[in-house]
Amino acid sequence: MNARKRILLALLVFVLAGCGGSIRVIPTPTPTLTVPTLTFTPPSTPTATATVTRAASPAATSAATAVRAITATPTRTLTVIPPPARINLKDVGQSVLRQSSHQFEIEIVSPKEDAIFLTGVWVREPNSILVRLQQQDIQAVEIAGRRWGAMKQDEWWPASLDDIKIDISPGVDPAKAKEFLPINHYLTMRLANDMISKATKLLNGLFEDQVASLSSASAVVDGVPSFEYTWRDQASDATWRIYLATSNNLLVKIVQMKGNTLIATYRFSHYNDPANVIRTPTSHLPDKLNIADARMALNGLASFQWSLSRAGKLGAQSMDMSVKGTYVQTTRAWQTFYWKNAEMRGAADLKFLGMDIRYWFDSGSGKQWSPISEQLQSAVV
Amino acid sequence: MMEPFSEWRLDGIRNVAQDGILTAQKSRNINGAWCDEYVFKSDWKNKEGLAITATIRLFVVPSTVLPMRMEVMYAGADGSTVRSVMELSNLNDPANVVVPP
Repeated sequence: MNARKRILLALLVFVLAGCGGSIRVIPTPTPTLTVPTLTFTPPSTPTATATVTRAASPAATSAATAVRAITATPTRTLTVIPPPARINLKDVGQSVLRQSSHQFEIEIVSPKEDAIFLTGVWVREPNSILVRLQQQDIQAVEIAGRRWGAMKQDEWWPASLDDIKIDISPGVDPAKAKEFLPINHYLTMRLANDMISKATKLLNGLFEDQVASLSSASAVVDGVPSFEYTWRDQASDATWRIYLATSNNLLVKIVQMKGNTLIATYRFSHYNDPANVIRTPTSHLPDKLNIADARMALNGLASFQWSLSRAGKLGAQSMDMSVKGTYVQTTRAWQTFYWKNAEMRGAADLKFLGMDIRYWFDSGSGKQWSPISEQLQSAVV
Repeated sequence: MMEPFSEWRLDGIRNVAQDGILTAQKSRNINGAWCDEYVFKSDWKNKEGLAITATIRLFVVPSTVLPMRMEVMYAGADGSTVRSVMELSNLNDPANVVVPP
């Protein structure tokens, strides 16, 4: 067992055993409010560095570029890491789905009978999607399982049975309620459900377990400097080109060809953009608010601060604690300060910081920020 | 709880009613925004078998349904209670900066 494995194992043992260590993590509030305090020790050798992954300009970058440094400021050095020679589309998909939201375009041009042009917005929380069928001016929306559809943008109809209010004669199966709908509503519901299913299937189909190789480190697609990866299916003569932005490695575009014929283009943009809010198309009843719509509204903020104060006992356990935090959606970054009292009294007992998939903590004992390993992340989040 | 949304999405509170009921219109000014008040309810038992009722009061900006404040009162069947208050501030403030260490 190497040193790194030994450290991780020791950390996990501390977390699971809830004993020892110099740093105490306040547990996530749970329904039972009885989770014991998690405890762990920091890595013996902090691995946080000032290194930032950043791509060079496309003109200056090539597949053979070695690691080199760019002096960004007199006091900070950014290190350029060349793109990996191979990527797995599954990882690309996970990276896309970790973001809070994005916009997409799906344009299938061949064969002609399958031609379709869909645009839309995807939101991670609450799990939602907006799809527009451009040729027909039809829209479909799903927000946390509730669906609506509209033709010509002038009349929205619920497309999930739960939202359909219809008088059904006694003895009729409610699942057959759609048979009693007005024809326009019925057609819109069918179209909305088909569009959402189609878009979801096409998007998910892009991110299967498939390896692609770097074919250019200096591509520019739709004005975005990108790394180009390619994989070819010899049997069907299909070629896929995948473009990842050099600035953040996020997916920009996928082009599917068969021989010299363009089959489909998929575009991804506006990651974590506060404009990517999907609102419930039909107005609320004035006296009701769906909890998913309130959560969705948070996506409309570029950044915010929040505070939480909790006091009292549940059963015999004291639940006193308080938190102050900052969230920046565009970079998916957040920072929290924790107190073990309800009044934010004294210096914070713990600090956490997260950026995308990287987390750090600071026990407030004068030590440096320490990175939290993926294993510990899953244990304490 | 490490990241900011676990509380807002009511992680940890079971069986939250999907629809909250409006109980007061523009009843409270929170950091400059007049908010409507909605109440959600939830009942469950914890691991120790203690029955808990959570009453969630959500204060939202009427035009955007942005949740500016959330008050949760947990009441155990044994009479114990916990009160939690969460609030948003400094919306879209350029000073909201988080940089990696």
